Amino acid sequence: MADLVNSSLDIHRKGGSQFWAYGGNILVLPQGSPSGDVSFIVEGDMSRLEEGELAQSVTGYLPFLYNQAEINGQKVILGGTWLDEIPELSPWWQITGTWPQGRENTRDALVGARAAEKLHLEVGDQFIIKYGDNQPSFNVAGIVTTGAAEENQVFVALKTAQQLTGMTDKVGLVQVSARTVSQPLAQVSRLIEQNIPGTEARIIGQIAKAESQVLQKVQLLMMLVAGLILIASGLVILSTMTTTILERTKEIGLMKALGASDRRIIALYGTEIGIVALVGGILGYLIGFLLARFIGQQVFNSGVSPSILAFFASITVAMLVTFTGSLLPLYRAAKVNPSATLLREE
Amino acid sequence: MRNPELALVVKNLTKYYDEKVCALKDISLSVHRGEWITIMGSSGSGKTTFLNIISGLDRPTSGEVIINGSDIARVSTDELTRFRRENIGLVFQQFYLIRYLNALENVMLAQYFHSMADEEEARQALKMVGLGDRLHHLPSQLSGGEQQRVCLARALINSPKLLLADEPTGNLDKANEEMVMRLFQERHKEGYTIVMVTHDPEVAQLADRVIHFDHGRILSEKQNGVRCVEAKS
Repeated sequence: MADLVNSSLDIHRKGGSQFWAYGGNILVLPQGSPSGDVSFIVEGDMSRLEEGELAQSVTGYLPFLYNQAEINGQKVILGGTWLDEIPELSPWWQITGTWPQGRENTRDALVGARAAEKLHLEVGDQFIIKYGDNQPSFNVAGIVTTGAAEENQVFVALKTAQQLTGMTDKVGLVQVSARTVSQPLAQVSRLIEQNIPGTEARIIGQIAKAESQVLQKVQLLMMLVAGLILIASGLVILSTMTTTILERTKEIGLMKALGASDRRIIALYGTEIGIVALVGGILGYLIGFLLARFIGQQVFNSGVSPSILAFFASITVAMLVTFTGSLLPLYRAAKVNPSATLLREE
Repeated sequence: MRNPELALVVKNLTKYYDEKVCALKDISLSVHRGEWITIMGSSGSGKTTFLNIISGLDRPTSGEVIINGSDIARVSTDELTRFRRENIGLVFQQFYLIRYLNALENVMLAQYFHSMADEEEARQALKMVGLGDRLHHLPSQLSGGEQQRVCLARALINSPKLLLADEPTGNLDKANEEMVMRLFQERHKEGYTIVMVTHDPEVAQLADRVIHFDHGRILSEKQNGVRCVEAKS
């Protein structure tokens, strides 16, 4: 349950960061071809973003070309982009090392932090990217941390990626940063689609909205599952506590024979139950957090952050469920008849 | 009316179970302070029911049970619980020690419910019953005789006005029976009022008075071996 709470609390943030990791506020994608083949944007067409009315709104853009390549025998996503423009358009990318200079740079590469770990690469290392028969060598100029999927990728200059993959002058998507002062984003988006035929310009806010709806549904589903688990847990506690009280009837009878009042019995066993619930809540949170982190890693490619809210929620819920499930058994414990349990007529 | 010489006065005590089964029928008797009485009788004669009622563990259907001048048959449940912890010491045939508490803690449990646990006092009580070297043993590590002595120490720790014992030697061998009975004799000499239920005539003869129950009535009463009361047929 703690895992579900942890995951669902973090899902918006995580989902959001996945999305915003694209940077900019408009994403230009090629329109899908009717045949279903992969489509591309012609690199030369991107210069139209700097022409006419668009020149007033577009402050910058960054093209990406993604392919799968092989490094050190392992498959990785290879991204081709303008490496020198990244610090400006994606300022949240953190680098260990230096940003490569020049768009025609065929020597340097940026490696995502997780990819670097997986491939055992460090800043200054030389490595070979294998794509088909091509096997050029690169230098690790920097290792980047983005908090999202880029951490699993390797980036080289766009030109280099195009030459390596034989996709000369092709671009997979363009991240555009546009001002909304002169005209609304929707207008800019329409202008882009008009100026670069065969493309679809999506406003990131709209994508985020759609994504948010999906995330809300996933969160609702997770809460529903958590609720069902809570009910099941309550029933398990009820049955366990009933059995425990039955097993300890003689002990309770003895305590009452020694002069323990009903309130004292409830306080005594209530304290015991409270301690068990507290330990259970803490353990549940820790296990749940580890599980949520594992799931976050698998689903979002980045870990779930610990939440103090989930911690207190785990303990509170553990206490509430345990005490609710223990109410009836505690009442029965208080009502144990000592004469019937200890001294019986033979 | 309160007689300071009397530790227990029972008047016309009757107990029915489920309004049909008569366990005790019109029992009347008195026990003097410092007196040791033994109740004997066949199974189902009502002796344990009698013990349950005078210990405040059960309530009579009718009649009076006067201890320390107050009729415990008429007090509230909370008052009955308070009466039990302040006036009664119970010794059971099956000992009823809590298995996860050691001998010392089992004795201290009675102190805890009475007022405040005092380890030194509990230690002394166990030494008094000859278990000074078994303080930290769990019940499972003690013999039957030793467990019964822990039970006796627990019953005595709060200096009860009435020491009630239900077949205290019923689960013991001869040697342990003698040791436990010696402890009862010592407590009797110290002035404790004892009401004991037993099947064993040898144990019964140690008491000042032996009362025979039969079908919920007093069949006969012997004072120091001399028959003094005989039920009318």
